[in-house]
Amino acid sequence: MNSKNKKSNDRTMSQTSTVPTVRFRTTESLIRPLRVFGFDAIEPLILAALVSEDPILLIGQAGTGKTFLLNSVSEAMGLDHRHYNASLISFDDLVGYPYPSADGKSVSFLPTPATVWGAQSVLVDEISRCKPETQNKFFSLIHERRMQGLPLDRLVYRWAAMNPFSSLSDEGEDGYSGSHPLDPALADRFAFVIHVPDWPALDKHDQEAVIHPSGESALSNDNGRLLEFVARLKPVFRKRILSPSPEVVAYSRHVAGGLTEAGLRISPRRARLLARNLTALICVAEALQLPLQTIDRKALYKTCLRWSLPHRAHREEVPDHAIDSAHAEACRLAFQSNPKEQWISEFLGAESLPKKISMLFEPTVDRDTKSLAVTQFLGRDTLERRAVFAFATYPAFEKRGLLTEDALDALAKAAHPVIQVRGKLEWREAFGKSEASHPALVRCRQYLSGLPEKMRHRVDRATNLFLYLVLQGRDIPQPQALETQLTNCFETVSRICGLSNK
Amino acid sequence: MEQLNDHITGTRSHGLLHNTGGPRSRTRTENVQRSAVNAPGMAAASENHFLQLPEWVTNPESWLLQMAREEGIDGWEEAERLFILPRNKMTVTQPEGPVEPAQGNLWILRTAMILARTNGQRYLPEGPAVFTRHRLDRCLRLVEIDLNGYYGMD
Repeated sequence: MNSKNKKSNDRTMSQTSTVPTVRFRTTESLIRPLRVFGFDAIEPLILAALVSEDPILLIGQAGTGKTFLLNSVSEAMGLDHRHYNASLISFDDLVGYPYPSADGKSVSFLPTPATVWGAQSVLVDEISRCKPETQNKFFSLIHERRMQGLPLDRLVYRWAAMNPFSSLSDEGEDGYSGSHPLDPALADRFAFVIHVPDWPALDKHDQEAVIHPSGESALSNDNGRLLEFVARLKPVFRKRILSPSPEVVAYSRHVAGGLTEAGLRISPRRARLLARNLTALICVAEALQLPLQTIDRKALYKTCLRWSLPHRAHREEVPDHAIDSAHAEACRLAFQSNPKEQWISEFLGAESLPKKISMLFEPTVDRDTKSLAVTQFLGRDTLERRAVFAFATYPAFEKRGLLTEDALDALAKAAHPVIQVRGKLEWREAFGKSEASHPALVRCRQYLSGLPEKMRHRVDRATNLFLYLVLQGRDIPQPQALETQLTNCFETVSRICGLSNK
Repeated sequence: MEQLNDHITGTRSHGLLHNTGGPRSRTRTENVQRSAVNAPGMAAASENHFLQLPEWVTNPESWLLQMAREEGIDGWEEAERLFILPRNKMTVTQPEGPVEPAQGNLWILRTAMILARTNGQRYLPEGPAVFTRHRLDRCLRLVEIDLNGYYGMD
């Protein structure tokens, strides 16, 4: 099979997953010319990791080409490469033979062609088959680019590969009894943790290309295309990572929260790695001219998220539904695609209550969207802010018909106990003191007594609000701030509705 | 500030009552009752509604329809045409003083029609009429808030 396979690649970027297939169209592969086939689906992720220089861990059945892929990439890029089999390696293989200096005061290592000193890329194969103490040595290599505390100045790429650990793989002959889950801390150092496709996931052309006997022992030579591509994108990535896209940051933040809530803990480091992965992948996608309109951008993010989870290296099951759910919510919160969702996000994100009120009077936004926004606001904001907002807006919103009946009911429910305050305050009097009022109201009283006599409306409204909040068990440490906010809200409604200021 | 105290009643301290026997409780209570829409100029319209539904009535709607027939009214549609009900949405508040229950069949029917269209927060003239004891057994003050009064600025 011709290594320059220029067929139009309709690429599937997800496999081994039940989620709908996500397709990307590129003009030309950078991996296929290396005579490595069947990796179209994960090629952009591999390229992203080459650009970001962050570690990759490939997980796959035996013979799926994990090692072949990584060795071919290093060969094509002309890297000084080391390939270690973690299950067989001894420490001397990595660092060389120690020998004392002439004065007997220090120890140096005698390098061999196999030692890690001077390597630009390292592939730790079968990483799940080595002993914990050996894993610990690789830990510093992968995470810190150090060995024995000494920096590996030339080392750029740290890759690893493993078979699915035994409880993951099928029973019978496909079981890998020697493969064990990685230490979660080690797994968390890999930026991408990718399941590589097995035979059934390859299409007919890829299967035939893999089978072609000329592929055995062939040199990977693409005339420098891959190296040129990666070298061109590295500065772009480095520049972008200094001021990352707000969308990427917001997505990473929201998805980390969503996954942690779903039981897939995301470490702060992982959230940062996800943002790096996304940034690198977007650089790659743009360079490959992948379409990045809304739908495909979301698919790109999901693919990146799916293969940025370290749990695959140490957990039996990483549920797709949890990923899908966290992804969907993060997209909704972070993406600026749907104008209605964008408006709701903007509304919910606005800190100022008068700003929220002004937004709700915008004539271009439909009633359903406004109602959804108000309902969400009432469901998630603090009692104090809900009370101020509802108290200030309910009569005007009802009169103007700004919201649906359901939303008006929800608003009325929040407003009524402030409009008409009823209840019983109870408190313990301090020993030796005769307090005529609830202690939380003392500060409020002091503040209100300082307002000019003519400010009857402000005092009346604030009195209702303060009494309501104290009845709800709230302390009011800053009555002035709360009262000012309330007045600003009433003024905003009054101004927008053109009501007489009498 | 008088405002905060005006609407509070409860166990106030009275120095003279101290040391009159057992130790005075240090738990204090205040009853709070205050409305932002009772002041003059706050309400464009208001009505009190109270329907004292007899205890023995198990099906309020049937009982009311029987009452309507006794008055020569054939069902709710005809009652809608006969009675003048509030046409604007109103806000539910609690009456501050005692309210007399509706007297006489026609008055009872009108009150029932209003209460049946009043949910927990609002009277909805176009809303569904729900003739349940839960809705009809309430004593309410419905207020149509005057926006100029409510949003009055100093």
